[in-house]
Parts: sequence; structure tokens; C-alpha cells
Amino acid sequence: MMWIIRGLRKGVITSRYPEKVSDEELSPSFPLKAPEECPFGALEDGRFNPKKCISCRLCDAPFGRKLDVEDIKNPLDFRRSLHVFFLDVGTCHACNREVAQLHSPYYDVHRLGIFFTPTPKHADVLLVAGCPADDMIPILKEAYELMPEPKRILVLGACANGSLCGRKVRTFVPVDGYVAGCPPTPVQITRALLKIAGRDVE
Amino acid sequence: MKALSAVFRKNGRYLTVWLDYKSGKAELEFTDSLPNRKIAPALIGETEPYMKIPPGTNAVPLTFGPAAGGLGQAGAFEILTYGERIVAIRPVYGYKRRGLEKAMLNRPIEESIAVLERAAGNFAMAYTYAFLRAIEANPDEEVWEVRKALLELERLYNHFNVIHKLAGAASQKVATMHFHALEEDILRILSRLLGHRYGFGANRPGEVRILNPEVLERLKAVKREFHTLEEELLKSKILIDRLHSTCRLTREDIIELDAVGIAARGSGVPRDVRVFDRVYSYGPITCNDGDALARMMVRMEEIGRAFEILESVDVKSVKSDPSLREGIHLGLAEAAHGDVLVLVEIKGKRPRWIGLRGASRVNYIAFARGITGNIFTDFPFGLESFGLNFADADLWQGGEE
Repeated sequence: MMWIIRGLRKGVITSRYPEKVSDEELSPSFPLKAPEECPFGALEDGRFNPKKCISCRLCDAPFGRKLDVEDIKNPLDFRRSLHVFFLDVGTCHACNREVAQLHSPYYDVHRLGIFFTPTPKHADVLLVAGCPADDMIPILKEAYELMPEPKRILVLGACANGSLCGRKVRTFVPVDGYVAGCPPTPVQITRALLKIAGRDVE
Repeated sequence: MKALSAVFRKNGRYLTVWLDYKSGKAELEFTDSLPNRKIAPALIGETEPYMKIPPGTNAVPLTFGPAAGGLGQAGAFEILTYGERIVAIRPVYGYKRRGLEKAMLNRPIEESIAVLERAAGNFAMAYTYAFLRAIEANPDEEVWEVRKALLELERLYNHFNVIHKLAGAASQKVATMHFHALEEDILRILSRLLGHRYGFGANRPGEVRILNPEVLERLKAVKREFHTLEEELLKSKILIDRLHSTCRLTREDIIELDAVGIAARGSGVPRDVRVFDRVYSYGPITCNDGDALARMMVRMEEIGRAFEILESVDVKSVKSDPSLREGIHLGLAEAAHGDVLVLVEIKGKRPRWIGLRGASRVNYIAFARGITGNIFTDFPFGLESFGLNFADADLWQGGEE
């Protein structure tokens, strides 16, 4: 009983995203301009690739808050629920914590019809995080094979895009969308999931 | 008694690190064979020797992971089971071997630290603390006071995460959500304070970068809320009953397995590197019961202590001009789950060899000992009470073996 009263007293803390996003929900750690140099390879042939930026803040780029950090190439046409299987192929565990926060009362992605499944066999989207480690590459390929059609792969974070250990998820499976960041915040991940489902978000 | 803390390979031999948790004295020793301690194989990543199949058993082997939804991370357990009973179990290391240790080498120190922060993201403060302890020759006390505060903030959100998971395992749905929200509260404070939710980029040689110290005012509300939630949670007989006597480790188990951190302190063994860290003035919190409940109670007490430490530190941007030590040096930090160890060799102001040992590498073995003989439904309570992860367990070394 006390828990219920405590919950009522606390009020609603859940994000209003996608209607509105607050500063609280975005970390000020995203590069807002291209740097002149990058020790971790985010400059490729002189062009800045934000998907490889680890937000080390060692360069001259200004850093700040940004919501639209995803790059979705091939969205589904799902208007209702979306089922997601999360696969860690070699993270530092920060991405895992951010994905876990999607279920917290602050973000609660169930309200948007997004559900995580314990197996790729029920999933529409494979959400992959981390630098593909040797022993996880066959598992990544198998998880993709097990998914029913139509299926999409969404990749999270700079590690999965070839920073630090130099391996990219797209080398092993076809990738349909990226979320930049190290790690991307829960609201950035939510936005990318909505976009890959084909939902309209500003 | 000295504990075997780490084993690396260097110059074709084993390089062992022994630590006396009373005096804080560490000894480095080269040997030709692995030391005769139970934990030695795990320290070089080999966990097969821990899978002891009892003679005459009809148990069936089963592998849980590395892509199991329940684990949520790349790691696995090989379990021998008969019906509901866990007859034998071992963690399987190696699924997260990313080679980050090598990526830290031969770079300017600032870049090496940026890589190190991404070795085990939720223990980034602890690893950078240990690394800078190893390399700074003339540490500035003011800088270290602020680093201590950041380490305690990291402890807060990790401890909240563990309590959230334990409450979730016992189907205490409202409690689990409250503690998950507390974890997010601290991550948001870190984001404003340091410009990053996990504090990446804050600790640099001779420097701590603080953006907005006023945000720490919010800790008062978090502290108030934690204490009322704690009181309510400990009234939950369902949770207490599930944690009590689950995954029990005796004092003798801890000594035999050289276990560290919360696992040791929950079994009455006061292993805590804050005791001999000169920035802290700290007496370890222990509980003698050795079960999942004891480990949660130690965390509850440590959360209270972390708030006290944070209130005592003037957190602000600080900068000094330390010189870097050349040669091979050891640094330690007490992370939320246990101590992390960094052994680094600096030549020409750059790391040329590095060895990392996270508490997860040691304490997964202690978990395996504790959960043996329990039943499957005890597994999440036992596992989550340690607060470990495989990213931390799979760290080892970079540089010539």
C-alpha cells in the first residue's frame, strides 16, 4: 500500500518524447561540428563521420545536446508495435545500461508499443551494440538468420561502427540504421527505434 | 593474509600481483608457473578447471548465454544440472575480448585514458582513478578529493542498479522501478556535472573537468528518497526471504578464492582498498552472513556512506601539473563491485604495456561457488547480488607477453 502512495506522490516522471524532449534527456556530449583532427579515426578522407565519434572531447569540436543522431536507411512500415532483440557483441556495458533504461519509468518504451523479446525468432529489429568480438561474430550472423521477415538491423554506438577496435557490424550482417554516440542516450535510441519502425517523429 | 590479485604474462613469464588488504602493500613477482592458488587459472581467463563434475551424477550440461535475453550481455555460464538443482557451474570468459588493452598502448596518456574509460563503461571512474594513481608522480590532494567524489557517484548508480535488479527478480515491480529511477537520477546528475552520463572525459592527468557543480544539490533529494525506499524495501518479506541464505559464501570460501569487494565484505572479510587509500578515511562495512541479503545490506550501508563522502567534498574543476612516472607501476581503486587493478608500464610518456584486472574476473568464480547446490530460481538473486559484468571480466593485458 505504501508503495502505491509513494508512487502517486512522486507523480508522472516519464518522458514526453516524442511530443517533447527535455535537456535532461540528452547528454551534452555530442560533437556539434567537425573537428580538425581525430585520434580515433572519426575523420575519413577529410570528412567527419559522427557515427565513429567516441565523444572523447580531446579535439577542438564544440560538444552539446543533439537528438537526431541516427541514420536510418531502410525503415519498416510498422504503424503499431515493434519487437526488438538486443544483442551485445562486445560492449563496455554502457550501451547495455542505456538500453536497460528504456524500461525504466523515465523512458518506458512500452507506452510507444516497443517491446524487447528474449529471442531473435520473435524480433522485427536486431539492436546490436559493441565492437564485434571474435566469438560473437557467428552468434551475430545466426541471430540475424533466425529472425522472421521483414527484419532490420539497427546498430548502436561508435564501437559498432569501427571506432577503437576497428571492426564494424556491417562487415558481418546488412545494417539498416545507425545511432551515433558513446553511448547513445535512451531517448536517442527510442527515436531511432521509432524511425526504423517507420513511425513519424520530428 | 596476502591475496593473489592478478596474473599477467610478461617477458615470457608469469607476472603475479599479490596484495595485503590490511597494509595495502602490493608485491610483484615473476614466476615460471601459475601460482598454486584456486583463483590463478581464472586470472588468465581459463575457467574450465572450476567445472568439477561430481562422480556418479546424472546431471545434464546446459549453456546459458552468450546471447540469452536473461543475461543481456555477451557472456555465458556452463551449468551442470539435475532437475532444478545446480550441480556445478562455471562462467565462460572470452566473448567480450575486444583487444582494447592493445588500443591503449603507444598513445599520449589522454588518448589512452579515453580508451580505458570504454573498457568497462560503468566502472570508468574506477579504472581512470586506478590508472592515474599508477602514473602521477606528485599527486595533488585537491584533485584526488574530487576524483574520490566521482568514484562515489559511480558507486551510487551501480548500487542502485543492483538493488533494482534484486527487487525485480523478486517481482517487487514498484520497488524495482523506484530504484531504476534513482539510477537514472544519478546518471542525469553526472551528465550535467561532467558532460557525460558515465563521466567519460572527466578524469585526465592532473585534472578533473567539472561543468556544473551546482547540480550536486539534487543529491539531497535522491538521498531522502533512497532512505525512505530503503525502509520500505526492507519490510518486504518476499524479497528478504528470497535473498536470505541464497548463494552463500563462507569466510573460508572468500579466502580460498581470493574474492574481493562486496562479495568479501558480505562474508565478513574486510577487503576494501579505500581503507589504505590516503584520500579516504574509511572503515570497511561488513556483514557476516555471506548470502545475497548480506551483500545487499553492505550496499545499502555503502550508499549512505557515499552520500556522506559526497557532502564532505568541494566538487569543482581542479587542475595541477603532475609529472608522469616512468617504469612499471600499480594503481588500485575500489569500484562498486570490488577493487580494480591497473598495472602499467610507461616509457617516453606513453603506455607501452598494460595489465587490467576487474573484480568481475575474480568474483564470477566466487558466484559460481556460492550458487552451486542452489536451484535455478535462485540464479538471478545470486548473480545480481554481485553486480558484475563480462566486459569487466574479459579485460586482461596489452603488450608483449
